[in-house]
Amino acid sequence: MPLWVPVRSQVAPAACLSPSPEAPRALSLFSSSSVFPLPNSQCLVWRTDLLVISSFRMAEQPYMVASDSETTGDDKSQSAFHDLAIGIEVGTSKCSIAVWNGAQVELLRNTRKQKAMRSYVMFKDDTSTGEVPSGGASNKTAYEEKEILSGSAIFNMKRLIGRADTDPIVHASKNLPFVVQTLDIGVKPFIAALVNNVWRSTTPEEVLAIFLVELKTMAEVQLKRPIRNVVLTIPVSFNRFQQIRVERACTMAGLHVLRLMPEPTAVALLYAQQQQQQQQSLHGSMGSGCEKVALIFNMGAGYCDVATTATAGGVSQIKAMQGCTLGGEDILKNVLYHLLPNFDSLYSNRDMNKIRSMGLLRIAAQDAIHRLSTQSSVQINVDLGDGTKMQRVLHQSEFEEVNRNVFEICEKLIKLCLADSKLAAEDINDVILVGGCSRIPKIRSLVLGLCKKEKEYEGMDALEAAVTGAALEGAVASGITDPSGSLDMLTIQATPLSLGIRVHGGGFVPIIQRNTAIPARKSMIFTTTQDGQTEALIVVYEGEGKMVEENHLMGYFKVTAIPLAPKGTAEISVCMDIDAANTLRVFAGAMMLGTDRANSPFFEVRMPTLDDAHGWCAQALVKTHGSALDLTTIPKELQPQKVQ
Amino acid sequence: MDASRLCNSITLQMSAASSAGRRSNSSSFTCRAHQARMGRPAAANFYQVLALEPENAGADAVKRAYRSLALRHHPDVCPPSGKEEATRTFVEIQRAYEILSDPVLREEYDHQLGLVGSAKQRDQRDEERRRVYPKEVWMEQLRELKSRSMSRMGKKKLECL
Repeated sequence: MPLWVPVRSQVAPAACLSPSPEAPRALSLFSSSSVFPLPNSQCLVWRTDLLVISSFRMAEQPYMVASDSETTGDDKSQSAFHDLAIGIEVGTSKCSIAVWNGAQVELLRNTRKQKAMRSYVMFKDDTSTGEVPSGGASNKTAYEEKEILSGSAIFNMKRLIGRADTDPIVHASKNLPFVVQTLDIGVKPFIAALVNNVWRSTTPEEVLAIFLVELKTMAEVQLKRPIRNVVLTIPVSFNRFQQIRVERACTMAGLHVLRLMPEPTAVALLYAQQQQQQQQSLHGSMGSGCEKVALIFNMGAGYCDVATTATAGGVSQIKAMQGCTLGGEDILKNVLYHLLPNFDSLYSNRDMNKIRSMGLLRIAAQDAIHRLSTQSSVQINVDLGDGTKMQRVLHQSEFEEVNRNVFEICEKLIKLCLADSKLAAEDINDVILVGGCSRIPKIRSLVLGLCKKEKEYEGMDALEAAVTGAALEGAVASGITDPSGSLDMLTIQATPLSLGIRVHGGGFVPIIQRNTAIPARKSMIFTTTQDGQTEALIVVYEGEGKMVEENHLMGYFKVTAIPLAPKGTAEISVCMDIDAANTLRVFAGAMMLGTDRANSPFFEVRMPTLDDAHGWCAQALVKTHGSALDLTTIPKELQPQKVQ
Repeated sequence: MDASRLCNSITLQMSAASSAGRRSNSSSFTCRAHQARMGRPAAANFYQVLALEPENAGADAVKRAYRSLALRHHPDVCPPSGKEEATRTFVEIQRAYEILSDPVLREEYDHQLGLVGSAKQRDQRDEERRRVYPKEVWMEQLRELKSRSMSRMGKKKLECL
């Protein structure tokens, strides 16, 4: 599999053999004591090709040398070991890693002492190391922003991963310095980085995997142990395809995803912990305390999320979540088009000089936006290098005007989220603003205004809250307990998107509504649309649209052995199950007429069964089968889920 | 691996329930579905699931019970070996909480359980109803009645003509 090649070559050497200046230290750390004592008399054994954690008593065998053929044992021994998961937030622009250090969460720093590292992967021909791409967390070279924008680096992978080439976000990414090509047929977009004056293709997953390998290596060196389990934060609006792509990238990087956590829920967990500690110090007891409701607004470079949470006694219940692909990138794009109205036509031919000047303009615009958070106007002076110079003043009012659409969407999201959670502004105790864009004055005033609050919740770092929450979740989910009780916590997650099936006429019937607590299991009874119909197609979708074509197709299968009956009388039970790890399973089957017994064994299908959001699969199904295998709903009062 | 086990257990429970000729109260969703449709609640009622007494389980008590049970039974806080069991338990707790924390659904459920009946409870229920069905609902009903009578009048007029 070609996908694996660059990653595989990176995994092992990065940890022990790569010629980077940091590596010899890493190697010596491990090799000077090849066995690390770990809790529960478990030991860590260092092998030449991979790390194995095995469980044995130290007295009997201080270390072992495993042969290369024994490569399957690590999964078994892993399960017995409490491998503390680290928290990773891979942002569109920046990323960070955090870990529970036994008393609190600590953010790791790279060798440049940065806690927030730029998310990108540089593809460069380097004769000494071969053609190994390197990411922004790398301790080798700190690439300057100018180089990152030269076309040789891929960034914004979080905006591209798991999207088809028909997606408007992919189309909007075409103004980035690297190549994004679309054919508009609903397949993966083509992306490529400039290496030796050649556009070399790659994929968003591959780029993310390379980047994660680097993060993993960095963490392993600092924590002096192998890292396997991670809790990764994701935007609320990520559909299951995007989640699977992220998981796949983690697998490529040798990481096991313990949990993909929507960013605001990670913040909610941190909030729950802070509330718990506050109440403990006030009352000195572990009482469940009074309930506090918070609205969390998170806006970074790529995505905007809103969530409401009710917290008491260390338990945080996610009431509702809303999210969309909207962030600093869109704000930047609006400003770029404002500064240079013919931006698209100027940079469509991608010659090297144009790419360079586009990069310079991007840097200048970004800088101006940052400064506008504290100043009412900024001076932009940029020499685009191709003989043109831009000199002008950008006022805050101008900035707010060109980004009016962004603010409107933010407002809509907050209103929707409040309505979903059945809360009024008065019910909210705290407003938590996180993410880079939450520093924009207009956004602050907008969120606080909608929640009728004078000021925001203090005590959270806007850029570190999500990753801190992820590390907390990592510790909780790894089974770590803390004597002071600061890990007696829980976030009850909710499904951000509805899940349901297609019914006759192309309508979408949700079986698990959005904002349902996870783990969840819901079932519904459907019936046939044809006389004597013996088979029915279960077509599963995720989304909020009333019609299936507005939603994401997850997969489909056929329920057989429906007893012969006039249309509308046979009963087909469809049950959806989401477990704590967020795995979706669909159970379906026909019932014997007039009984509560299955007519034949049910089908159990893990979703999604499709590899990508292939909308044309649905079209093909309709074309081939028409409505012969369609299902329809039965009256509400006959549905089981009303009172179960 | 756990998927197939889950499926097996469901099929087993279903056949066990049917062969024994009784309704199972286990996690067999299809059986449950039909119980509900017949208007028969499951054997372990939602108050028992949350370890509450129906008489003195206010909204706060329901929330508190739900949270403390979630902290003990949510699969996130259980060891990997017990995850499947925990998931089942938690789904049950969640369902009980969803019903009992919603005044309308709770009333409906109480009715099914046969808990509603005494004069005092009925008073409470009316109070609840006034809170849950505000003026708008009542106005809506009134409007509906009016429009019906209008159409009846219209018909009568037609007949006269």
